[in-house]
Amino acid sequence: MTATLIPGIEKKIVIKHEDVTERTKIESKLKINEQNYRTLIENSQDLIFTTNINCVVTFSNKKFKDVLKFIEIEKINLRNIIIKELREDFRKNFLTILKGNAIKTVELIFVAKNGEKIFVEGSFIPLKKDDEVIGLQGFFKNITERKIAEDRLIKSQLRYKNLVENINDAIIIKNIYGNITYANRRFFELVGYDESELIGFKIDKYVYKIWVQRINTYYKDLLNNRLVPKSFDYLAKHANGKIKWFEDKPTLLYDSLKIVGTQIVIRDITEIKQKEDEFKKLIEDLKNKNNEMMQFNYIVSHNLRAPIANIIGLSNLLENTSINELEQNKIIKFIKNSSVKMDEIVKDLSLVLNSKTNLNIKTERFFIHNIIHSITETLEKQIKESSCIIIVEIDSSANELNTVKSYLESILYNLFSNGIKYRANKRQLIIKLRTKKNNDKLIIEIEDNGIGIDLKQHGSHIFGLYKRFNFDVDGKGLGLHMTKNQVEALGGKIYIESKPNKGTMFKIELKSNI
Amino acid sequence: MTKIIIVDDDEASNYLTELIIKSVDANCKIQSFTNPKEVIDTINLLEIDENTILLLDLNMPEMNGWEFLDKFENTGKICKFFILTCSSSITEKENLEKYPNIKYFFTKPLAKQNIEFFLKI
Repeated sequence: MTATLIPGIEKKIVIKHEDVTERTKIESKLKINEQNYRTLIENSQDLIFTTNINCVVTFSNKKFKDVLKFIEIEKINLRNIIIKELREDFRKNFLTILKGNAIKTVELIFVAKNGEKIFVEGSFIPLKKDDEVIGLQGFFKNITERKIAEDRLIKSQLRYKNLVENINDAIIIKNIYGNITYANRRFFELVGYDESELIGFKIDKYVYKIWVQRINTYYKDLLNNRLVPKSFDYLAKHANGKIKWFEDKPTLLYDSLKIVGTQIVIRDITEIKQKEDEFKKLIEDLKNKNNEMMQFNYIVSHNLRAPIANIIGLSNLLENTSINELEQNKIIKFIKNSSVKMDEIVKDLSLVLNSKTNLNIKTERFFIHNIIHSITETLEKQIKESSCIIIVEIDSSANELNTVKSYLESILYNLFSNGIKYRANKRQLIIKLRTKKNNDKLIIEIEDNGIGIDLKQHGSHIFGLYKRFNFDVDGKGLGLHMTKNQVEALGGKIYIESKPNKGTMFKIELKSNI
Repeated sequence: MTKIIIVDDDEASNYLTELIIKSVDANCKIQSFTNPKEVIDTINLLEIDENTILLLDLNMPEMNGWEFLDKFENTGKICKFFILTCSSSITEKENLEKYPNIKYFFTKPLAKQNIEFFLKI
């Protein structure tokens, strides 16, 4: 005896039995069962339906009708309430079912009477009568709400991903072992590597060598919760070899209270750093200029006032008649000396002022060896007297210059003449001049084995105006000050290295603009 | 007899100071030095006591006035210091508090009234 338990087709059930009493008994029993199942199915929260072999709905429960907003759904072809895009899939499924096979899990989209899309998930089972397929049974759940929520999540994830991908800051994620597990597009651009070269690797791929250890220690402490995350700067290296300043802004990544890694926003701050450096340099320059002005002020008020005070005082004395002729002559001699001294100071100051200005000075191309030749000719007498040995080593790549020739002549003259002046009498004086090229700079070194100077004591004043450090030899304290002014007027720099009783080396750095 | 010592690297200024002092009090015993180092090195040869007047310049190349004062203090000698300088800048006067030995500040050239003033002290 076969019977299906699906309501709506019970009329097709044919039960044959000889014993009518038995039959009535069974029939009434069946009816009770049927009634139970019908109620169950009618009130089920699932969507339940059957179709015949032509796919026409032969039965549907209340939920199915409610969800699809149909009052009566029977006699409608199931195909027609499935969304167009899925009808072809359904046709294939239906053929499978007709062959007697169930479709265990399938997602479908129905179109309700008001046009609303209904997402469902469930299964199709062939409806059989005497082993013959006569249609299908469908058991589905309405998953529309879940689908919408999922859809929303996907959309928002997509939006977030787009944001991260297109943001101007670079973002990377590192696991607790320090391996990069994610990097956005901007980061790949920033370091010049692609995904295959970075994902799974550690920061030493792009962090400048000397910084790797420090940064690793920082992140180790951070992951151990010993630090509060804060941003920091470091040097990085682009794939093309360029060195850049980066800033890391880290946050810890948690997965249910457990730290699983770090998420880092990385910024290229090279330009900011450069600006900072420029500002620092500007401030330094202004400070130096201000110091020079103060010094100049001091000189005018002290050095210039001294002979003036003498002239005033001495000429007052001349008015005194009680002074004898011998004294008068002495006074006049001192007045004369004072006015000469005053004149010298004024001349010095104008020289110094001139050496500071770099306006309207003509540059020309010339060879350093020619200048040295003319300087040694000018200094011939002093060189002979001191029996000085001059050694000149000029690198052929560091010989030609395009600058103010008279300035360089004056600079080298001063340094040579200083070398001779401050020689150590105990030993043979040797002055060495070397030139070399260092990137875009031309470097001139002048080294002597003279008496040297204690830079710890005098270092800060060495290039100062009217600063003298040796009182056994005549000097005004003007030479090095002017030399520095002239080097700076040429856009260069001058450095000194010296040890008392060993010697002195001046290093001049000029722009090599040939 | 008042004893006066002048320490100043400017020879003309020293000559001038001597002449002015002598025009006020011809009996003063005056000694001039252009090298402050020499004064410190030979301090025991100079008869310095608490009534000795020392006129000191500040702006000297090898050892300036302030350095001289520090070195002088180390010798244990005492005298009356008067500063004789060619400019009167504020920063220098601020330094005065550190040196209570300094009696007064004079701006060059020295005037007769200045001399009358310090001879009375």
